[in-house]
Amino acid sequence: MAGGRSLKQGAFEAARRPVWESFVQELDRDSRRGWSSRRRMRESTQGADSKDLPSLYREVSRDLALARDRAYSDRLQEELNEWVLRGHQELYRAQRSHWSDVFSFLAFGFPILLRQRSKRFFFCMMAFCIPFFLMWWAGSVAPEWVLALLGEDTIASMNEMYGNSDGLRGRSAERGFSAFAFYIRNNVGIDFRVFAGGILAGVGSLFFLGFNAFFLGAVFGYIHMAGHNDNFLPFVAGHGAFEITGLWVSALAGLEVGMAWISPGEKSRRFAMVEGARTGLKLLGGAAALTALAAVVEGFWSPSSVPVTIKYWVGGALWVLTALYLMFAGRSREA
Amino acid sequence: MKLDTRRQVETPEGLALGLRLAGVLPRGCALLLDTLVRGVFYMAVFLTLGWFGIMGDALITLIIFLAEWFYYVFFEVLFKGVSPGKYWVGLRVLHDDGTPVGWNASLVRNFMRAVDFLPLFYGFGVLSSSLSPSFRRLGDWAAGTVVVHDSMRKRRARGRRKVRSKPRNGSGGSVRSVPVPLVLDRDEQGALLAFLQRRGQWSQERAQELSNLLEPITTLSGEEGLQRTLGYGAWLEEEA
Repeated sequence: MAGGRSLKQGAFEAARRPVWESFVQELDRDSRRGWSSRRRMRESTQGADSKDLPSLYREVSRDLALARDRAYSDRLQEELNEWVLRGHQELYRAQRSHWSDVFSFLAFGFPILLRQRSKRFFFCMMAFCIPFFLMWWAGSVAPEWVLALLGEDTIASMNEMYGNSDGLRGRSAERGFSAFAFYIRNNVGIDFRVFAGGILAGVGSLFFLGFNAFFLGAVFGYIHMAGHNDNFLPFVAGHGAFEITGLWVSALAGLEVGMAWISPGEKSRRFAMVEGARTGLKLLGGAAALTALAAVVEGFWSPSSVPVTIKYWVGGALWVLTALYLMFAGRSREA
Repeated sequence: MKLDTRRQVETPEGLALGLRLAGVLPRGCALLLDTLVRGVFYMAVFLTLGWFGIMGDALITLIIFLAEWFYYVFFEVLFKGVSPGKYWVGLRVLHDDGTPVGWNASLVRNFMRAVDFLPLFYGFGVLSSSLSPSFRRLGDWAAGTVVVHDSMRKRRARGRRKVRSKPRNGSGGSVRSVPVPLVLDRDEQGALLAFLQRRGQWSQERAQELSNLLEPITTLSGEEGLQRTLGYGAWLEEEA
């Protein structure tokens, strides 16, 4: 072995440098390939001599260990450390998932994941519903609460949108798309924020969730006060199911992080949190899908001029559908 | 070594890799640069799509949504942990086991920015990374990631010149290797080798001052002591 005989640093470097150089070359070639690097493993090496990246990596790793053991200079140790670090990153990159995983997750993985946390999910539901209905009810008994919460600007824009019966109906497809874009940015953004709030021991998630519930309840309350129910309720009936469920699930996703931090169980707190965040992220993916679906409905269906009764029926049906999906999808696959 | 912001990570080869963690200041600079990049990008989007009426506005909204939440994720995952700002500052995001950051971790750490940047100017993020031994902001905790100095690239540009091609021997002439008169332990050997190799970074006076510390062993001082000390280093470096 070249490294074994020559104990002095100079000789060691002289003997091993060719190996390091070819390792670095191999790395550079590899990262230039970058995007298609998955093919790397299958490609045959060019020359008979040229070694492949993994075996070069092991050699350089060993050289670093030797350099440390023999207390070679910091400069050499550091240089080797960097090469090994780069090789490490090249070789141990994460597995990529496929599109089929996404579909199977939405088809049954997501509802299964949710059902495993049904208690916590009901808690999120309640954390939303109680303030929401409280404020809605306040619309008839304590209007000053509602007015104080909404502020003048919101009230003005609500009057503009829902004040007359044709404020929303009969939007063109173009307007529908622009509404869709707005709802995506706004509502999916809210989902992400609610999830992020989970890092503050879950308190942030509940705070954002509660705040949105109060605000939304106040909107309903004000509409009731102002007598715009007939314009407003048919509009929101359609997308409510997806949007609100998405919001609950994002809060659940945030709690997943927060609870992992509060009670990590038998794992270390740090590890539990990373794992909780990973599960939370999956749930958030489902929530974002639901919310995006709501944005489609809200952009194109909700403002359409379909008769009011049909809108209510469709709205109700979508609630039932959502509930059925969350309760039963993937039952047969559950352990 | 304890003052160093290094973090040891063990690879499957049973080797401890050293990661050089990045503190609040360089990360703040990278953040500013990234914000600037996004600002320029937004301007470009407004100036081009702004002409296309309602549809254009809708596309702008969607693009801004994507840039708000996925700018970092896009760069970190596709460019092995480097966003434009991090590239200029020379930083890189890694999993805390030293592997390149993946989709999951990158999504988590970047969504958590929504909290890290509260209440003002990344207040929570700064607080968290100042208190954490490995400079993690809240998003890094949740994602299990660290931000490290990407010394590789920086070194290729700067270090090659300074460290490798320095005069190997102190004052121009070649160093005559001198056998070390006593048995040295590993730290001592390392110190002598490091002295030899970092010689070019000091002034003559400083180098002599340092080698004077070894006077009890070299029995020489000043320039002669320096040459002797370098000689020891050279002896350790060359083949026996």
